Amino acid sequence: MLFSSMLFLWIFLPVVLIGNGLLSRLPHADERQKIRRKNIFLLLCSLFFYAWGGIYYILIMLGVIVLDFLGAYLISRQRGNGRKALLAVTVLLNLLILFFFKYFNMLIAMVETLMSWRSGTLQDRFLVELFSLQGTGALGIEKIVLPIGISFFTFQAMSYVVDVYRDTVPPQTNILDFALYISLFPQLIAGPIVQYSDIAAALRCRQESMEDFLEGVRRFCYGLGKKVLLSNTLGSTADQIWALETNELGAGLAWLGMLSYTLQIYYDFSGYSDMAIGLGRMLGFKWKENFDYPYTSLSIQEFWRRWHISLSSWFKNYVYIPLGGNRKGMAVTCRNLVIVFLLTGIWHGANFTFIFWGLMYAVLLVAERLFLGRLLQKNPLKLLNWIYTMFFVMIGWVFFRSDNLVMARRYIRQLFCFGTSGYSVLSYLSMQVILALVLGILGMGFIQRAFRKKREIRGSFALQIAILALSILSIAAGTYNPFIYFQF
Amino acid sequence: MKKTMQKIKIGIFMGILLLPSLLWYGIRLISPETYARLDYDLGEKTQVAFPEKFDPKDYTRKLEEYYNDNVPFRSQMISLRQKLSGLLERGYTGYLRDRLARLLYGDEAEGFFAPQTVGDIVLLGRHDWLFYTGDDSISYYRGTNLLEEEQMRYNMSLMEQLQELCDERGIRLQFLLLPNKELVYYEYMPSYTIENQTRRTETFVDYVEQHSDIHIVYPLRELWQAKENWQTYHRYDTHWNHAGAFIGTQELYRALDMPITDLSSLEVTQCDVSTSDLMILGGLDATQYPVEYDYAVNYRPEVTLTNVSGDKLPSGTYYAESDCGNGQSLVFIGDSFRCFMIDYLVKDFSSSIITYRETSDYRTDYPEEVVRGIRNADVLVVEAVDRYDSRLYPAIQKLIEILQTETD
Repeated sequence: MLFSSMLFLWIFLPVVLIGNGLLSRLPHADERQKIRRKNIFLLLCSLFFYAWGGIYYILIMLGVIVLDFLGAYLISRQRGNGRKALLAVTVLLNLLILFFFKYFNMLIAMVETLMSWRSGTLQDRFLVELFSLQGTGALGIEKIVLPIGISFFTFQAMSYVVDVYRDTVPPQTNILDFALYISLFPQLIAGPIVQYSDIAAALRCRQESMEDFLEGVRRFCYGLGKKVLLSNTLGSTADQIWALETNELGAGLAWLGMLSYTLQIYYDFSGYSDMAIGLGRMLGFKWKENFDYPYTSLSIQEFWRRWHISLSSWFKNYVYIPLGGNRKGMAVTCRNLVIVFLLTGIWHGANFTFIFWGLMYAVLLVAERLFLGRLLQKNPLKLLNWIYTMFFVMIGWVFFRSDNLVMARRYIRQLFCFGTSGYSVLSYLSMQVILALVLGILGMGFIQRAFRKKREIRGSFALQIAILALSILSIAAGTYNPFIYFQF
Repeated sequence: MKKTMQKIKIGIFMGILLLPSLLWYGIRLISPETYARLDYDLGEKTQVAFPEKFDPKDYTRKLEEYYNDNVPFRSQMISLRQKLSGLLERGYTGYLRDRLARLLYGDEAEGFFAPQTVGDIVLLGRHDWLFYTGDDSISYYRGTNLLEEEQMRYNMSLMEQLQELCDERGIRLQFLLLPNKELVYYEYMPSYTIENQTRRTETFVDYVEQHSDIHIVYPLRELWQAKENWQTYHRYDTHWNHAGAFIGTQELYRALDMPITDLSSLEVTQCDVSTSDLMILGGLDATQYPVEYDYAVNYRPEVTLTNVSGDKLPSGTYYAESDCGNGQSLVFIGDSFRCFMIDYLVKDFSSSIITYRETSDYRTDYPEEVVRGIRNADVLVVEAVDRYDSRLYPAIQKLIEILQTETD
């Protein structure tokens, strides 16, 4: 179920909010009982929410819940090598589930291409076919459908097991509470990746207040507006441009497509995170921010401190630091960065484009560690730093958005083929697109960051309600609506 | 005071989430007449049915589709959205677009009319004409999607196979291809570079004429000529109107050696337009556009129809018999363009079956009467509009299957 669907807004959400509110006001029940009942209610709602996207998928999620609950329980009771072995088995099983659903299709396509190459039917087109990941269908294996949100909930589950192993959190003794941690609907499908230590206390005891509820409303309305009014409008333009043959793509149009997608992915993902954080707040959970105006960054390092913070933190805590972080000299630091960003790329999807995207960032981050960072710091003209950062971020999105590396290469070539014919930029502009572009650029964060030093811009309640109403009108009118981050 | 204000705010938020549903179902319960007035449809469309059968694979998706199709105040919300987006886009075309064109293209912008799409697939044309960009329509217009010779040869071979089977059975077969609106009313199209003046269908029709005995009716020139006296396509819809359909029907008759009628010799009156799909698809507000009319042609009023059944909807089948006296049976297989021809066709054949072309399996998708009708037809017409030409060949394959199989 999408947050930006009529079913969610007009049926599911009111039922959850009213149910949760009524359970908070139960007479003759102490706080502990109320929390217990609310947890069970939210768990049932969350399972229903997930099952709506595919009834069979829920079995996979329940499997992950049981696996990690038992894994952590057994780890907490073991000492010595057995503890380590149990951790390894549990993490490995999680990764197996994730890899099977996420990368099996890619593997089959590669095997089919290799078979085709060995039989001599591909010859000089081998690399193109391999990177296209189309496969030949020779093995006759049906494609596996990716369960929604699997990358998010398996990462949450693994973080819990590792934290229990490290003794940073006590193991959860109630499987229903653990199931709620994994399946809580606001963050289930597209994050943020909530670490168990950040939610453990709220599962036992949480306070709800009208201030918190209204803060949740504010975040939810802005998030919905970002998604429906900005991201969907820009996404529609980006999709139309990306659907063109590259020879019909003039440089102007290619830049418009890249800019539209750059803004689309930010407002899509940060809008979703806002909605998730807002919904959590309405239900009494306080989660950390997932975005902090990443497009205002003046270096790639800063960009990754501000973009998808929960994923960066996950990799930092569970991969980068255990590998030695930056404590073992420059060579090891650079190696660790490459590993982390290779994994970040792989996490995003089963395609060479994501691997390349991750590696591009690894190279840039290593360069910043070695020399570029110092140059950027000393540069008095900070605008150049921003142009450098955004240039690579946008080029990165071309790889991210393209179906394969061949397409990405062609698209990037078109960015610099000035004076070529093709469709006019004006073909893809309308007042709504122009407004979305202008608001999108203004909302990237420069204004907010400048004002934040004095007072955060919060917007009035009337503005929030207007955004909510406009979003509902747009959704009802059946406009375009896919969440980009559902595929990861 | 602060607490009261907070309660009011929460009440407003919850009201937006709850009140529309409560009101809608309340009105339905209390005043069915008011509900019926509110629950109107904005255009002719297929209603999503409530999923009766439980299939775990896609039951929730179907249920959500049903809810979306019946969401409280849906038509009112769509209309309001159309008004808002209509205002914005009128502002853009009226003030901003030309300035942007001059900024980007300088003097070359003179006469330049930037293509602007709304609602993803609707193109705003000159003088408020709307065009369709879906189904690769712009490539048909620009001539960038010509068929490879191998593909043309394959398509032609299928046509020949069907022709042979029809000849064996004594069925008069006629292929009818119809031009997209963008090709007929090109003068209202925004500025595009035309890559090939002879577009895909014309190239194919020429190829078939040169390499086989098949004759395809493609009334592009006749529709151009007719524009002097009649508007032949809807301004706010992808389809031709009843005048265009009349011209097309006469060209079909010419190919079938049937008597031809001049539209000017008939009593033609203006009537309301039955469809404006582009207006709805583009999310535009009809009240901001000039009113459009269709034509009501008083064609052969002396002919009486009997045994009329079925429906004239794009996906339906229409059956009729008439006392026109030509003694011939017609089976016409085509897309939504055929719907505008029905009123003429049924009066010129003693019996007519006019049905939708698309089918994955004729045994389940074509009614039994249609399959029987195809095998026993005197005249079989297979029609497709430009943008659906590739769908013609699977249909031809199905017809070949039907004629090769004596009975099911």
